[in-house]
Amino acid sequence: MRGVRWLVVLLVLWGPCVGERAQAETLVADLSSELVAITSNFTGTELILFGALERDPLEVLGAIARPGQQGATGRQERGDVVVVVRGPIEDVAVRRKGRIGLLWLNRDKLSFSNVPSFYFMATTRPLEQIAPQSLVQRQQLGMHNLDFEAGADTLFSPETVTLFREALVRNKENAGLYQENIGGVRFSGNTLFRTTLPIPANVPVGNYNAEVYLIRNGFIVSAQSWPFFVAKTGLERWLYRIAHGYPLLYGVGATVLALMAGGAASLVLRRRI
Amino acid sequence: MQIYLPIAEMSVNILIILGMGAAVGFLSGMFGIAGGFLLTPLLIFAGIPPAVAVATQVNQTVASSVTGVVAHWRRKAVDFQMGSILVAGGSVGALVGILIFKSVQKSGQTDLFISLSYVVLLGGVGLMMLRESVRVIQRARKGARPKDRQSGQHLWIHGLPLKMRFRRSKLYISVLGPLAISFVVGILVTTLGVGGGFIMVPAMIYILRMPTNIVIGTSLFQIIFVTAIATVLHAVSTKSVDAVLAALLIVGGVVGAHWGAQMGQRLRAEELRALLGILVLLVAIRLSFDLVTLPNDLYSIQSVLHEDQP
Repeated sequence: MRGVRWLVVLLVLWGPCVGERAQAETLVADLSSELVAITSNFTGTELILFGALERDPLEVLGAIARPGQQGATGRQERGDVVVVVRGPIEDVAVRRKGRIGLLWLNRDKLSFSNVPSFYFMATTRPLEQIAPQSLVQRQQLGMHNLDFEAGADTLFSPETVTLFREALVRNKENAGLYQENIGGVRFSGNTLFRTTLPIPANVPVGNYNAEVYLIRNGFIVSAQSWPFFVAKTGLERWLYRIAHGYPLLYGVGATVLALMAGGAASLVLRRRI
Repeated sequence: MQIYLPIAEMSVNILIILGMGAAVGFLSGMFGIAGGFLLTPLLIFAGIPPAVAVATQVNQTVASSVTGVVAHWRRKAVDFQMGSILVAGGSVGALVGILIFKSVQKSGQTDLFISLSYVVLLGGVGLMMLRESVRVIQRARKGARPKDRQSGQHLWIHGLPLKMRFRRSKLYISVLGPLAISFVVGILVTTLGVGGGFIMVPAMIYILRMPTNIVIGTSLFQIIFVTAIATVLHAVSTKSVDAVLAALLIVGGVVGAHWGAQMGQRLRAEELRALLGILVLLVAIRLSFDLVTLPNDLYSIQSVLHEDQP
């Protein structure tokens, strides 16, 4: 398995050299899998994103010829890698509890749209050392820089909207659906990098996108994205589809099964109540 | 050992769910109750979304009441005529209940509604059970015999029109009484995921004055039909019936009920009822605790996915 993966990396590295002439600053990457299958024993999983910086062959040859300088300037030349994964977009209602008499109950509500149901970011170094604030905000890097749209009909002050926005991120983070891993992108040597993408057990199903940015001197010099899918499979998928596509059939089926199970139990046990 | 619940969309420990089903099944076997009013709060404590807990519990109750009714049927301890009237009232109640549940869901107060209803319901039932059994135990200590059913007395409910003769129950009463009672219980079935036997049985004995020996069988008979209808209603309108969760609860419940029934025969009825009363009160206290203490996070989120799943 591992051998195959590295073979793929090598092929990917080698490929462009044969075809068009490689640019000095591009990256190639791939995911260990394009499908996360949710089966009955699904407890979360990990995807591996691995890639390589493609460098000008002449530059590489130069570096080999002058090995002493490589260590000192390696990082500057190489740049930093930021990996971002986003799940399907959703609307989220954020509710705030308030006290009425003795009871705590939901009182205020603010809806946000354009919220990624899942967000993960891994970087080689802390963001502030990699990119200026303007770039971070423009690319919405990091869970605290995501730009959700608050419901247009809101009567709340901007400060209150910020509180709700922060609460959304906090709740997502506590549920394990928003994660960051600073330093999670590791280089082996100067060109190969890899990172693991954590997929928790409560991951929403749908279309995902993994984006990889190569940032050098505060600019994005190369970016690519790879889609992958999270889907229920087997019995889980089948049940979910029937429950949502043919709810009447599902309800009758669940009832009949319960009737049969109850009858079978009484035959087996001959309960006396 | 984890298992993924396709409708709840979460992964749970299979042994915890089986254990909960068995524990409540044990109690139901011991006390002769369906146990939905204990299992639904337990499922919510375990992190199952309240809507899924209620809808799935209704489905589980179908199975447990079928198991229970067979024995009564053999003894001919079921009044099918009365049962049918109760099914009619209960079905309409279940339909009204699902409308209430949907509107509560829309307003975002599902958790509060379910917790508060359970606190009121369990608190009331627990206190009543405890008081009743303490009184019986005290009377038994003094050596007096408990009073028999006062069949000569009439309540206002017996003066209503549309009278009908119920042969098996030896009653000649208005159908409006049973219809009203089963209507109210039907609402509880779809909103709270209970079978409703713990309300239906006392109501049949004390309000309708049915003979005690056919009350439980008749109650179970009507619960089968009303919970069956309620399962379909929930599947169609809230889409929250989790068949995998229901199957686990049914399996656990059957095993637990078997042991519970054997255990129940060794304990005395009044002591059993006092135990159950204490248990029910504990669940009510635990639920009310969550309502009045400062929550960990004042904010909560609820997602609405845009695209349909593949």
